Amino acid sequence: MKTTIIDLAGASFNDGIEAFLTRLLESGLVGSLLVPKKTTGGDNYVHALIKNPALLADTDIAAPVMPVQAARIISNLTFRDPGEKIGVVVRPCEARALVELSKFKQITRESLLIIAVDCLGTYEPKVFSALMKEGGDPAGDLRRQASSGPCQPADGAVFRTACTICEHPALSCELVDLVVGLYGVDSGSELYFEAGDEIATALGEKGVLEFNDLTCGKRDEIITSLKESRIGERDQVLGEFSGRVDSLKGIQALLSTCMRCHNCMINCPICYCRECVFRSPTFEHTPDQYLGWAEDKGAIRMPANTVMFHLTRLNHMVISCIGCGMCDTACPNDIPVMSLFRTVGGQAQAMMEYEPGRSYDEPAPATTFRDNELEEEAGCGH
Amino acid sequence: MSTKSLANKNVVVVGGGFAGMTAALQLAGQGVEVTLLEKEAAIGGFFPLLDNTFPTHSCGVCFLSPKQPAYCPFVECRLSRNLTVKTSSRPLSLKGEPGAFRLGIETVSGCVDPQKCIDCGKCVEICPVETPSEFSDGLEMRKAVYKVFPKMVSGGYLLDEENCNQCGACVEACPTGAIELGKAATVTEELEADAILLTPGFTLEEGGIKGEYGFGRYANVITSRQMERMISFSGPTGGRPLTVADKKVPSKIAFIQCVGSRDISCGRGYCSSVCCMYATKQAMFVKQRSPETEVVVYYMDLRGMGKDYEKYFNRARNEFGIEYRRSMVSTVHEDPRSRRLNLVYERDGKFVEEAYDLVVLSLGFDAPRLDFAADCGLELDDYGFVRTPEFSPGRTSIEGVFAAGAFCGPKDIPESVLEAQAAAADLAGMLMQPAAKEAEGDGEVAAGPDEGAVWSEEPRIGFFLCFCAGTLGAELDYAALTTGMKRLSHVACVETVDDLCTPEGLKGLRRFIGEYELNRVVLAACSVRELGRKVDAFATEIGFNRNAFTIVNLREQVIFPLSGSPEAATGKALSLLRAAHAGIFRALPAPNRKERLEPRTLVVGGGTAGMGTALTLAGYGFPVTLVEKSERLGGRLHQARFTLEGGDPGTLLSRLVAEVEETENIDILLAAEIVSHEGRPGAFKTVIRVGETDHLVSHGALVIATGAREAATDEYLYGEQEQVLTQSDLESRLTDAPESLQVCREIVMIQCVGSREANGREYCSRVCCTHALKNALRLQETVPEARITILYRDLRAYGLFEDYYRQARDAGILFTPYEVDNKPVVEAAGSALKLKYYDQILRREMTLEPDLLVLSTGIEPGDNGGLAEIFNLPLDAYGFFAEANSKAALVDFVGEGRYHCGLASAPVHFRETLVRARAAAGRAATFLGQLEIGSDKNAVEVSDRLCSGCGLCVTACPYGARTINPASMIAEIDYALCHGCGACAAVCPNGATQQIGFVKSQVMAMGSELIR
Repeated sequence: MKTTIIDLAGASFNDGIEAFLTRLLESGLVGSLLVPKKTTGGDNYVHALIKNPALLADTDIAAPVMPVQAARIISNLTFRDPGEKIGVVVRPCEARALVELSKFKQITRESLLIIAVDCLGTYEPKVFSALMKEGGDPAGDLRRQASSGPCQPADGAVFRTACTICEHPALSCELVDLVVGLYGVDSGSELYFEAGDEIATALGEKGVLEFNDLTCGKRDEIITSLKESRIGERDQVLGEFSGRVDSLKGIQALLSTCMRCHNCMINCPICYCRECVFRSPTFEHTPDQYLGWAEDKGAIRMPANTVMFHLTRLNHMVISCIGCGMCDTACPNDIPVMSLFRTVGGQAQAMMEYEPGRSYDEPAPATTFRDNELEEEAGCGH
Repeated sequence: MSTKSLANKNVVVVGGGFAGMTAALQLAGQGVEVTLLEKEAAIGGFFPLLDNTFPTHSCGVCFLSPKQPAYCPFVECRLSRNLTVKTSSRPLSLKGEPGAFRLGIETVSGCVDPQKCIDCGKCVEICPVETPSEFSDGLEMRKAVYKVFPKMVSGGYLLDEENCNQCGACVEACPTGAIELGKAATVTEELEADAILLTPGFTLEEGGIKGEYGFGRYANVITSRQMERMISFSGPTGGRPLTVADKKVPSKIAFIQCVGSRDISCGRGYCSSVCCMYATKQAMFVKQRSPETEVVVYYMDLRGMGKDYEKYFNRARNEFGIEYRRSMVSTVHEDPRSRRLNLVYERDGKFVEEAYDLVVLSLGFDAPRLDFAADCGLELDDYGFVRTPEFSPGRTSIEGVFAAGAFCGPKDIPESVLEAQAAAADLAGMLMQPAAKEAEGDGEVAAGPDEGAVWSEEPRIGFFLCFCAGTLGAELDYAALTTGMKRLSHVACVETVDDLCTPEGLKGLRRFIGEYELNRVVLAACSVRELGRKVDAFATEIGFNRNAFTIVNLREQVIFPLSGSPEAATGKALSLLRAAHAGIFRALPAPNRKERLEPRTLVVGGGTAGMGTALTLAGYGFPVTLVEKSERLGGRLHQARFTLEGGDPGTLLSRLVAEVEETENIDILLAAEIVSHEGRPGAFKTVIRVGETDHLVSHGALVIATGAREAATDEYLYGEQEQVLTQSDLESRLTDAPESLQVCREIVMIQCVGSREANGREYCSRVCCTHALKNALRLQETVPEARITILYRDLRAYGLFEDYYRQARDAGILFTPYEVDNKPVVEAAGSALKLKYYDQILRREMTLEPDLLVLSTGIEPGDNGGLAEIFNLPLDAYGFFAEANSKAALVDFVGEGRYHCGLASAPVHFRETLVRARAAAGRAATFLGQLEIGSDKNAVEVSDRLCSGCGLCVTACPYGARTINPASMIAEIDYALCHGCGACAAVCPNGATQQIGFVKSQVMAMGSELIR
């Protein structure tokens, strides 16, 4: 692994990054870049696929907002080999979602140069939008805090729950090609990068980035203690959740405001099906079926299959759930879907000794088989 | 295509028993026009008499047909397109030559017109005449108008003019005017045939034994045939053993073996081969139905030579408590007051008497009478069995006339089936000559009927509830079921029927379908295994898609388990029927996809079995790749020096090798090793390594013929003392170095070394007794001065081999039985041997000092584990390859396209190996002759629109049938590899892969009906 610290020499963080991205695009190492860019309205950042280096203005790789999970976009870009290398700027949860999607052939890893930026926490898009409209600098505020420790949200605002219990605020360059560090980095005056040896050499040769092996002293310590406190927070949030949702009744109560809009599924980076089975003819029931069920039970909830939808999604995706919380963000009625997935997922993943997003080489549990599985399944093991 | 070449050929099969039906169905299945002659009024031979068969205690007959699982061959013979059944017909004369035989036959047409008879049974009810039934040797009565046996399918009723009093009541009672008294006539005609197959079976003549043991004088002395009826549920006692004189449960029953067998005084020197087993079966049923009854079997040698039969005897002894006494009964006399029977037999050198309530005489076989045989020069042996050459079993003295089954010597059903399959294959090969063999697989694939029209209509569903010939009616509330079904949507009719499985039943169904304009049909009857294939064929016939029919198993799934609780049964039946309704409403049509079969067969093993299979298949015109692991063809045949019947195995070996090498259609790979195997029947791919080169062989069928080996032993000082040999060692010595034996004066053979023992090989190796006889007879000639003693447990010289046993005894060879718990003991006394054994006749310990001790070590399976794993084939408990059914599918694995034969399957005599090799080839030819196989009803399909290309199906598929197309990134299916298992459909998260027949919406709808 190579590291480097670049002196900004009076320039701003965003200017320094823009200069770096411009050199990267011009170097030919990538043919295009996917970077969060300020929207026309000025109150949000969304990913833009940029070919013209001049349009790298107004990008902010660390804007604390995630209106769309980038893994979904990247899947659209590289589901088939796009024919060129695309540089993508992502946060850790997006990079980890890419790991999972690659196991289901939904991305082409080889056509990506993945640049992961430390995540300082994200606001719900509407919260972020309000902060921007108030004229604040939510991104800058967090970067400044990160140089010495964990970040607190702006006054009167909160981070998304998923971010408050996220154990992966920063990634190493084992999973991605390049890391832009913010924790323990004085982003006002310097930029910090980590890269694998090969990439570092290529970047150096092309004059994109010189690696000088300098490191930030307190970075590791800050990240470690942040992970610890997040784990504590996670256990508390999920513990409270599973105390509340501990039965079928609990699940029904949890989902009482679900309107079956399927937004959680649409925004989930892992739900990769072209068309969900719940929106396919499989779940087109005939009137006599509904009436038959109603006759048997006296009454049924309509539309039917609300609980079934969530349970099926759990069944299909929970092993690969990386906990980004897009489902929470997407839910119009504030159902804590992420807590449900992380609670069930934690147990299912532990059972399979599998951690989603950990490694490209670990096969998805659904594609492997262990001799003792049947015994455990049948309850006849020891 | 072979079947095309066979299509214009005519074959007459004489005799419609098990062997005849098997051969006729096999030939008809391969396209030959077959006429099956049967002298009785119905086909089936003795099989209908058997309620159950050993050792499985099930009928097992459904395994007989070319395709499995299949239906009763009685039905199948009637349905088969190329097969004409002529009952009440017998051959009178044979003229002509191969390709142009003329068989004169005589057919008796009775007073009941089979075309008009509807099987209603009104004539039987009204007939006043009662006369003893031939079917059970007079144990029960029948009317003058009757059915030969309850399940007969060929034609309607028979009128027995001899006993008919001409009252005419039946004529009046018959609703269709089918009966005309005095109408019976005999018609003669001449049939043209390219070849003839004789399978007339055997007869059970109690005439020969009348008087012996009091049969015919004492009511409680019955024949095994009568006992078979007694243990049958359809028999006169409803399956319970009862005394004949006063219908009481017998407290003691004796079975007397070898009645009319192994007895030259009655002209039957041979062993009937099957009586020990059937008596044991009958004894077991007696104990099962009447546990208090004591059962004793009097026998000379227990002869159960099959692979699983030893276990059967052990079960009879240990679990059922049946006692076997090695002693012949000298006389039976009745106590006139108690009607009990006193048996006199020899025990410990004295004659003793024991009383029984019932005595069963185990009747042996008689050769059938074929009047025309003498006129046409068909060579028979002294007993009347047909002579077949040792190295060409199934051929007769007349070219073009083949034979199989008990006509070639007494034998059990499995051997008869094998001989029938083999003879039919051999015969088909002859029919192919000398016509040029056509290339395989170039036939046009016929398009199926257009099924679209019916399918796309709005569903009109018909329910048919079958009473199973009146047996199910009482157990269910059919009115409630009818009402329940009528309430469901799109139901056009609910009807009850009686006999869906019969041609008449299907005819009726067809009428209903037309009447109600149905396009979906639910059949509530019995198991899919029984009904499925027939319904598929019926659907195709009437132009419906196969998935327009669904079967609900009311018999096995409802009535059997819930017998006696009609309310619960009706409730469960309702759920199942509702689920079937939900399912058929959503069913998708089965794809009409056909896969071409690869015509080649891979034969693994180049010994007698492998070469025999290869040659027979090549005879059909099918290409073969013959793989042998050693450097040369021949296998164990290289070790054989002479045969019991006087043949020279060397000539067989050189003939087989020369023929195999000269046959263009056979590729030979020597010193070869199987590396990998994949695919499915019809489209296998196997990689075979020879030296450094890997050969990829694409083949449609597979035959395993890897042989076995003489078992090793360390008993009786084998390997320590040089005078101790195995039978194979002795055989080589007798031909290669006979002078080395000249010094021997005391020679002992020990049988069953390591065989038939709980902690050894449990099975009987079948061949060792005859091997010992063969060597002993040759030894006797070589060293006439020597005394030869054979220590045996049961001398299993079955069938016609019994003659050699008698010859050996006459030649002065001594035979002494020993018990397994008191085995002979051999000690070394310096370089000499001391052998001690207990002589049961002299009743004392004897000591011999043999200068030659020969051990019959039996046969043990080869190292089959590796091959079994590569080919994914099952082994039996002993390590031989496992047959699909031990009665009727002995060279088959479960499913089609994979077969096994020879010693790889079981210990068998090498003549039997030749038979099994041809049988396996015949089975493979039937499969390959189809040219193509239809796709499974449960095949899977991928929706391009829905598929995300995630590849889960690729990893889930156990057959390598799934790939992701790199261009479209959509999953594809190689239907040649797909087994329709549905793993891909299960793992596919959004239903992009659907299994036709188990479509997700269909399964969910059915499931929710079942759990309502």
